[in-house]
Amino acid sequence: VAKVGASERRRPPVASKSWPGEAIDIPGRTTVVSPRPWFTLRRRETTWGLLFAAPTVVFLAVFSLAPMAYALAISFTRFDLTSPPEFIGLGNYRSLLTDSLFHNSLWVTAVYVLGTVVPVWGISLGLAMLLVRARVFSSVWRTLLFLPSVLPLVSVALVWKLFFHLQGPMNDLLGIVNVGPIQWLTSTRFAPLALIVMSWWHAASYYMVIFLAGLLAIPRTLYEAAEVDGATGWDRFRDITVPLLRTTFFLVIVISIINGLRTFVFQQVLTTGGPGTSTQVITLLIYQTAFSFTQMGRASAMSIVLFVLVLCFSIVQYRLFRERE
Amino acid sequence: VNRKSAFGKELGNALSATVDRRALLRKGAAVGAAAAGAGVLAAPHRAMAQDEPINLVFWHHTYPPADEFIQQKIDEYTAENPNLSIELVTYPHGDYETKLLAAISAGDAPDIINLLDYLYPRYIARELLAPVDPAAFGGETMNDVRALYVERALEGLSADGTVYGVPEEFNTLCLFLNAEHFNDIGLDASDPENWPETWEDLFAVAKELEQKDGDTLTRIGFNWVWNLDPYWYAQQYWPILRQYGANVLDEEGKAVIDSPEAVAMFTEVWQRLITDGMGGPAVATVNPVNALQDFSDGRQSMMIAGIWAPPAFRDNPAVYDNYVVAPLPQKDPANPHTLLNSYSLTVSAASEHPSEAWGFINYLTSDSGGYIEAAGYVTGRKGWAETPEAQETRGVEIFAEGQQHGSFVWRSETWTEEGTAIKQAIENFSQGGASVEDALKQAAEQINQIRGTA
Repeated sequence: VAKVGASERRRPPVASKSWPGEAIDIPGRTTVVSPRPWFTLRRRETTWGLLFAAPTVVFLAVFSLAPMAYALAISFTRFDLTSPPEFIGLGNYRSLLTDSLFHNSLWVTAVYVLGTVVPVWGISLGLAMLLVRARVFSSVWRTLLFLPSVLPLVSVALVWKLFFHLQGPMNDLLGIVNVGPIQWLTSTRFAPLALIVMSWWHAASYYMVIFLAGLLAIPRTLYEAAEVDGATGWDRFRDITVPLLRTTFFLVIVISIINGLRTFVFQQVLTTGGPGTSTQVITLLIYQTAFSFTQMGRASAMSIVLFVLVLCFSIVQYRLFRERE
Repeated sequence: VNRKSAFGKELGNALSATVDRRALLRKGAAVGAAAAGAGVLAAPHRAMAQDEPINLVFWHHTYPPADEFIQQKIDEYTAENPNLSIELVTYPHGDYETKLLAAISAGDAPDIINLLDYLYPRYIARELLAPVDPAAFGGETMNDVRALYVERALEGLSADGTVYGVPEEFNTLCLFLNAEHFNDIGLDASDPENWPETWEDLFAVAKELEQKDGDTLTRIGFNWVWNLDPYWYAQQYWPILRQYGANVLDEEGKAVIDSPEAVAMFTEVWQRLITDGMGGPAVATVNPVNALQDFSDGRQSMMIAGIWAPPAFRDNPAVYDNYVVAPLPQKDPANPHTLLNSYSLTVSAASEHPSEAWGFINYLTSDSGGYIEAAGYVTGRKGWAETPEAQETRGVEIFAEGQQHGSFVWRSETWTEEGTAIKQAIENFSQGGASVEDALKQAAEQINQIRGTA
């Protein structure tokens, strides 16, 4: 019985169908394929891959998927935390259709997201472009500009609360140009604006880093060639930077919108959703419904609606960008 | 008779209802508490209490003067009962309710709970509270417990003839004046003739008391407490609503917060402060631990507060030495109406040691003099106003008189939602430019939706 060498094994077998370890009849020779080891390289790599991924998978399953499944389940119930859930079908979802507080929170969230993310894209891209050009103390600038992103959100919010006080620095600054004083946090008109302004400061630094990474990945030779060809700064930005940053733009847009929809800490610390309901974003309403009003089922239904909204946004944006690509 | 019926009811519920394990345990604890109250298990329970170490967890809202006093009483009580340890846990008032519900739902309810009266309907309906154990108060029936308290002190803490808690504070709110500020405008605050009797009087004197640097208010004559929880708002508007003959709910449970009387009250009294530029949230200091920060710091001349307030500004002699207590201003002084409220002490139905918990509560609240001296709390026990410490407390007779004309805020299992709707309405007209009428109408619609009475 001759063993089939590696080169022979690679040859297509004569038999129309064969399986590892199965005998193959080759005219003039009696050949048996040696039993193929079960633990092949591919299987070994798959096993190790699964083992390495297991902690994350387990973590996500326990802390993300299970709570999400639980939230979905209790969204079909009336549940007040202190007595067993009572199944009410789509009752919570139906009630959201006529819930003025829920509609208001969707509107407040939409205004906040729009007011925050659109300017932040421009601010963060502008800062990233300035940093790329910085020749002196570039590391210091980068660190300083990134600092707002790593500061604890509650501390940041408390500092800004002082900043927005009637007799605070913001009104002092406006006083120089004879504007104000403005009741930043105590009027329904200005409180949403105050939160948006604060979010620009906080969010821009984070997205700036993402844009910076995208900008640094663009080969300098393209700009140099364009410069030789007589392209102006605007031409280079429009024809080189923007097209090559498309993927980065997509990432920033998706992340910023999702983060905007999930905003909570700033509203909770600065205004607790007030005055009235002027800054009551959907996450704050979910929190209040769940833990102040102890309507866990209703709050879960709101969470599911928010989840679906975020998912739809992501899918639409992904498709739009893919089509353009 | 009360004990037997309570026992029978709990036992019947425990046997007949289909409940989950936690509910069964709760009922078991309640049955145990009722049985212990009836004396059935009293002897063995006491023997166990003497032999085995018992740990009680006591949750209280953060109020440093009271917390220090309670810790002192815990030390005394546990020294006398060495098998007992009591852990005092405090949380700021604003977060307290949320944290408490989270702990209860997680099966980690504290044994002794500090609970505001307006939450009783919700907690009682969900069987979260153990009835008062009369034996722990040295009595045999609920009436024996009632006999220890001044009239109506237990009214907000009872349901269907059963008492579920006792006051740590049995309050009414009065008007505090800064005598030094009154002197500045040539008025003697100690003279009742100079006390604002009506809301019109109050706003007139507030205008005189305020001081400005250019357009900036440097001294506020009077202000409401703003931007805290819905109950803080309710404490202020409830007695005035009643003075105007208005209410939050009618007899059928439908919202009437948008009635012409309520609209008139919020326009003529609450909103007046804003329209006349005398106060408002923009000039108020918001501090969840000390809601009365501006008066405490001498930046405000008059405030509405309870007898519990002075210890909060004891460290500021300029204010503490000069405060005077006056009755709450009225719409019609001939028919006064004030607020009654109770930050009470109760025992969780899930507590494994309800008798010991009630025993400590009795020990703690029986020191009426100590409580009023340390924290300014009126326990509501008979004779509280006659204790030497109370006699030394300024304005004690004003508070005692105020208690005679008060009422608790409306009762509802969904009080928090309803109170939040009214708070948002107040903010919408006072901070958002909405008309009082529209804002209250929206609140009424929300309340009806919450209550299913739309």
